Amino acid sequence: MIDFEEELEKFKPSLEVEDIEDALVGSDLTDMGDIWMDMMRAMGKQV
Amino acid sequence: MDFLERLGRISNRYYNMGLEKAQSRDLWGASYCLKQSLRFNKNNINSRNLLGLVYSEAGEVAQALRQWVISDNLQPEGNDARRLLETARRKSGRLEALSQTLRKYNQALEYVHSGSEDLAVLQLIRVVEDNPKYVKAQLLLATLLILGKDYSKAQKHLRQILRYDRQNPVAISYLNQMRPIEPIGGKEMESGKDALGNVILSHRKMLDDDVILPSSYRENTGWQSVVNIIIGLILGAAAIYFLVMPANTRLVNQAHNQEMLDFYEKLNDKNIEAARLGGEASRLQELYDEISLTLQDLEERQGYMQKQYQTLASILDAYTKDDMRSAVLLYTDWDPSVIPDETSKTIADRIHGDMLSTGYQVLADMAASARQQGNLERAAQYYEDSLAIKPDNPQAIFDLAKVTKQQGQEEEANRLFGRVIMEFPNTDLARQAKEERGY
Repeated sequence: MIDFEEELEKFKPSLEVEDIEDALVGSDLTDMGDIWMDMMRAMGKQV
Repeated sequence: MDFLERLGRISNRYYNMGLEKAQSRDLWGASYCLKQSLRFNKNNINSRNLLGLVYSEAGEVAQALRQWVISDNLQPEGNDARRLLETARRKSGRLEALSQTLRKYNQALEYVHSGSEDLAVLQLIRVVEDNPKYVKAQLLLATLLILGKDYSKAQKHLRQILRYDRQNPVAISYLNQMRPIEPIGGKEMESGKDALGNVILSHRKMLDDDVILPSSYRENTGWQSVVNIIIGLILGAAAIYFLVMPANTRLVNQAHNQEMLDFYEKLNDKNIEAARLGGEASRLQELYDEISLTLQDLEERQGYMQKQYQTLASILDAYTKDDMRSAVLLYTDWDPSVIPDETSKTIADRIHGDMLSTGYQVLADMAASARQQGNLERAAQYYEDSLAIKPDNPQAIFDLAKVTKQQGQEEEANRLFGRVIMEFPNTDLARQAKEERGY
């Protein structure tokens, strides 16, 4: 049986249009390629 | 294959899955696949633009705009994102209306958190009237209605969700969990009159003295006479054809029979060909299924490997911040065996060495701290994690045994005390272990 009180807790606020700018500034666009390249740089390798 | 190229292919694969789901109106599934696509390649413009579209369709207009702005910045030329943004700007009135729904939704959520659920319901009803496609708002409203035991209205909103997001798992789950709506019993059908003016009564309303009046006879109207004439003409024509032209009929049948024979011969040939192709198709289907399973297996392994790389990055990050606690916790859940490249393996060996020398003790200290706070389950977990790194640590074994005993697991505790006694005899811990066992 679903615990609806618990389900209610899962609802988070929606991003509003006025907050898009802040959301864009704080966006983390790291993908797997970035992680791999960082590791290679840390090891001194040329990608 | 170059590692980045491989990532790009996986990203495209997820994009294709997302596109398929978006086309079949599975917005939830599409959103998941497209986000996965961007995790593998953030520059996948198609994925990002489509994700924005999916967000827009689900009522999350701000999220949609955000994705399109990022997309436009990543690739300013030849990108649909700019056109989509322009379209949104042109329809500023509608954009403002949708922005309002987002604000009202957030306000409704605040009402919920402050205990004013009835206000939240009223707010959300206005939101979904303005934008019935706003899935999150519909879902929250349905949840509140279910909590308020208004199941029929909740079902109505859940069905609305599935109209726009056909595979939304939450809506489907809610509908499956809710009890059937009680039939609206006792509602009587209303009486009325038909076009002929006869009274029609439903059998629910029938009383003993009610009578069903039959349709009364009426003279034919103009159009009925026309129909009768046409029928007469048809019958006449049919009589002439069958009585006057028998020979003609015989000839037609013969030609027809020959045609049918030719047709059946061709059909037979086609059936044989179809059977052959059917076999071919089955074989291809088997091959396709096998390849799909292999691809699925590869993707799962790729995803698992990706997770290990991410964990490695997080461990290294913890080291740079001198956060040994986080580093050891991440290490306990790490599987470096699947990482293929030599460089990362070297790093993994160094980390393992560090864990063997100091990491295991950090975990043991964390376990002791948890035990002091009364969190025995966590303490036991940390002792086990510590022993997984360095199994021959008599203190950790002994402490784990004590914790296990506190948890009421006598048998397991005695087994652990036994280990201390057998593996580390003539030590103070062995003596204490004997005492614990009652020797």
